[in-house]
Amino acid sequence: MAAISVKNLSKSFRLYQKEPGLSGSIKSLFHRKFTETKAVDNISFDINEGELVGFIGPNGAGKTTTLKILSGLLHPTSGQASVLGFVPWQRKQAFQRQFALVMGQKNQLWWDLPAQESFLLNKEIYEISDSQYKKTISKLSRMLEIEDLLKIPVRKLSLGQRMKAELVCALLHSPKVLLLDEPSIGLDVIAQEKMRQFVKNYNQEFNSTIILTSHYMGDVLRLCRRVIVLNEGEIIFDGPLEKISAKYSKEKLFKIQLESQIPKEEFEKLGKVGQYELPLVTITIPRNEATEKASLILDKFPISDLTIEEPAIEDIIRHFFERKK
Amino acid sequence: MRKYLAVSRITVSNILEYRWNFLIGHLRSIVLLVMLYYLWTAVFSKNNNLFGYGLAQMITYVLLVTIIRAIVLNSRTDNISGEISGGGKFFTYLLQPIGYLRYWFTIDVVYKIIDLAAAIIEVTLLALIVKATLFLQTNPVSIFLFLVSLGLAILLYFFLSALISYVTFWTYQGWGIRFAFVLFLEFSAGAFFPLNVLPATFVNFLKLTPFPYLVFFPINIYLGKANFFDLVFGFSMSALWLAILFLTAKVVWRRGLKIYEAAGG
Repeated sequence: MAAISVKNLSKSFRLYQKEPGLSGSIKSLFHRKFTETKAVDNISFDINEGELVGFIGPNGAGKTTTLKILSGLLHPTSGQASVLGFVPWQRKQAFQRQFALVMGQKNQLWWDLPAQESFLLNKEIYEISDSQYKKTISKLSRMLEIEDLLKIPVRKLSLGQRMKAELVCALLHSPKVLLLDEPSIGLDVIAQEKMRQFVKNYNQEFNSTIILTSHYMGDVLRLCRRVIVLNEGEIIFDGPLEKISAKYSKEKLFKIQLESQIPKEEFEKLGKVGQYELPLVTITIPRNEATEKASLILDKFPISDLTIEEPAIEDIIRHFFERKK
Repeated sequence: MRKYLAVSRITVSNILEYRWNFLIGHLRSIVLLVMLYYLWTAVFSKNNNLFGYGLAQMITYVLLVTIIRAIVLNSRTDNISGEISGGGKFFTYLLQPIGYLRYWFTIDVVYKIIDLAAAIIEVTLLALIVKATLFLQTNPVSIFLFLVSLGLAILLYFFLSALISYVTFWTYQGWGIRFAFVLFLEFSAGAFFPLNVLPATFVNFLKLTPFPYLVFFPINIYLGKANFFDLVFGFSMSALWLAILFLTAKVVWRRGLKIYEAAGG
């Protein structure tokens, strides 16, 4: 059975529009114009136990809304979802004991108290036994290297430190399903990398099912074999990361190292020239012409090296979203 | 149960973090008490009896209001409003295996105990400084009924305050309505002055609302001013309103969550 199963799920919000300025404000006192927007539009997917799936998409694509529905914060407008066999928005305690939602922009730690106090509170809320608590906390704080920070008031921690403490707090009850919403937001490159490493290890060690959303493509590229790409509330791709390129990139990237100088115009006949910094030239060439053009280049020009690459996934996705607009 | 003990522990730690803020907040109410004491003493200088109260009873009324403010008109549930509109911890507690209102009630109990201790110190200090003559109730039945009415009042106020916060589900902002409501509530509860000051028809109308049972009713029981009919009517109304508010809070909460947009983040 799938750990998470979503079927034809939709969620619309009512938005009200205000004309700019004071006159608009006064008008809106008497008459408000409402429009419906579909934050999530008829999506379906299944996620198996132990999978680590990435949600990607631009702002407003419906990633966070989906997570909020799966965690039980929001009632959907229509459709079904089940997480570990429960309907999330019924908010059964048996369900709540087995999952966690971590949002990079929200904190559950008590701001003025050391993180440890919040941990102890969660220990009781989730009814964790003393021995289990000690085991989990020593393991997690070792994995995240935060042993020294537990006694300092949370308000005095740096963002990166706080995020780690948030993670420990959310994971104390060893959730079977973990929903991570932008866990690395605002973190510096090193902290981001550590966060990724941790999520990966956690997934492997505890065999927990994880959904991760992120703006940082790096997070998803490093961690997830499967991605679900959302745009304007719809799923536009669901599958292994590598397949995105086959499905969406109609082009290949040629990197050529020249032995002697060839004018730029010669390459422009073949395809779109990217870099032209001799001896390096890069050209993008339609996928179906790639073989033919490759032999042409090898014949015609004095080259020392030729590589043919798939364009970076980040670029494909960026192009894809731009085209859609 | 242990969950809620843990909630109360962390609440105490949190209050201790803010100890200065807490102490200064309480200084204010002593000043108010001194003012009220001299006001009523001046009013009573020409009369021995006003609105059915003697001076000692009136001063006792004022001091008891201070105590009742600490244990009845004192709830952190006003924070629910901010949590609904701003997300924050609201998410956390919705997602955890803990009852949301029970969580707030636990926090309330902690604040009520601490504020009660502070109020008793304030009232005692004032009584000693101005050498006030107070009305001491000795009848154990009256004292028992007084305590029962306080218990009902605590619950009434708790659900009223929570309901006001729930309005935020629909309005996204809760402060305006709370401000208007609290002012009206304290007035009609008898927290500024005994309700006998007001015209009788108006008071009779107020007695159909839950408000007089928050302050006026319990104090009158203590002062021995409630007759058998008042007691039966008062306790019935309190119980009825408690049932209504409890059920309404339940329904409104469920409906609110349904339209809740979990904004922020």
